[in-house]
Amino acid sequence: MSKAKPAPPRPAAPPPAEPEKRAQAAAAALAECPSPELEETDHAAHSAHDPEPLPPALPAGGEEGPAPSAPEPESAPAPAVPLTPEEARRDCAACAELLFDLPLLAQKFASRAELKAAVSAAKESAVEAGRRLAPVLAPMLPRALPVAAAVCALVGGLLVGVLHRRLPQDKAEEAPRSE
Amino acid sequence: MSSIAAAVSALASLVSGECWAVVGLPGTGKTHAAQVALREWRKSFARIVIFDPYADRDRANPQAHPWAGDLVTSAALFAAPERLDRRALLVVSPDTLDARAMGRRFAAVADLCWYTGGVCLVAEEAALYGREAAGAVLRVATGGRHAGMGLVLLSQAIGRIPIDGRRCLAGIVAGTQSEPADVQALRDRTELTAPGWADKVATLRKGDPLAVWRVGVGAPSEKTS
Repeated sequence: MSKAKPAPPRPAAPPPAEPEKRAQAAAAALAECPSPELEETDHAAHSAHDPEPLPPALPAGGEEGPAPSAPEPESAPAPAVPLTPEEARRDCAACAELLFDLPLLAQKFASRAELKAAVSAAKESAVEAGRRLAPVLAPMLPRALPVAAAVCALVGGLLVGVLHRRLPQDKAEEAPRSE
Repeated sequence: MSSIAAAVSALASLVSGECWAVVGLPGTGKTHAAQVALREWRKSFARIVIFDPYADRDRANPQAHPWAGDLVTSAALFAAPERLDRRALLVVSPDTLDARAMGRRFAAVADLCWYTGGVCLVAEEAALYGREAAGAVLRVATGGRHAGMGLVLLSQAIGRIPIDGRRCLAGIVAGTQSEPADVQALRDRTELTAPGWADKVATLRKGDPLAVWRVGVGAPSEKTS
């Protein structure tokens, strides 16, 4: 008596809803895949219990994912290509979080170069301002208040004195006009 | 009570048009819970597609608890999309560790699932490519019902799931989160209906039961015990 019974046939999946569009989408996606991987890594025939050897070298990647790839080398100035949110995310690591949450921001820039320039300028100006102000302000802060009070008192006293001297004269000059 | 029982029960309720997130640090049981719930998904969906960047490696490592099902690379699937019709359970490997390429391939797989219909799409390690595939995640999360699709996003951190996708989540199964920003992201999504739920997640430690939130059912007591 045979112990192993044949597995019951799986219920047939219903036909695809839109096979033509699916084929088109598949063809478009396939065009973006490099051909060598198609030949080398079609694992469809492998079962779950038939592991294949590891490739000789894989990029280091922990649970959070692979190490970031090196930045693309700078080349000639990019032409003014309309920027999509996806491109903006890819091209601007510094503001990735911002663009990720506000993808519409990307639409404000006409091109990738414009976005990069705007971000670089903003970043540089902020850093430069902070760099200049910080060392000047930091040591002055403890002494700033007495100095400011003394300056204010001096200026205020001068103003009061001037006004005090000018007011009677002004009144005297204005008196005939008012009459 | 099993530490994942409540999580499995909640995940098993996934229906067409819903998007769920399963988040938690490694070892919190998020993948295990999803793998157990898969049995129920097979009853609700004609097809299950698991997009798993580590499928190849995990099958070579018995300790890794790989996803069951026929393994195929994304390129092979694009070359023969009718594979989706022959197999009710398919594990798709992007066959790349480049985040950009991975995101594009996930989006393309989501397209194929969309045009096929009746697919439960499981995005394993969505943190790796979720941002690159934000458009696809949003489309399936918001309009999956039109294609009979369900979407399950597995990630270590909720913050790595695209924000538009987060806004459409019908449910969250959460384990330990390590970053305050991730707890805040959970709070942003759940506080309106389940005040305090995200703060309870913040107190979870490895080994604690996964917490469950689902839209429209607000109660901190949903945390499993």
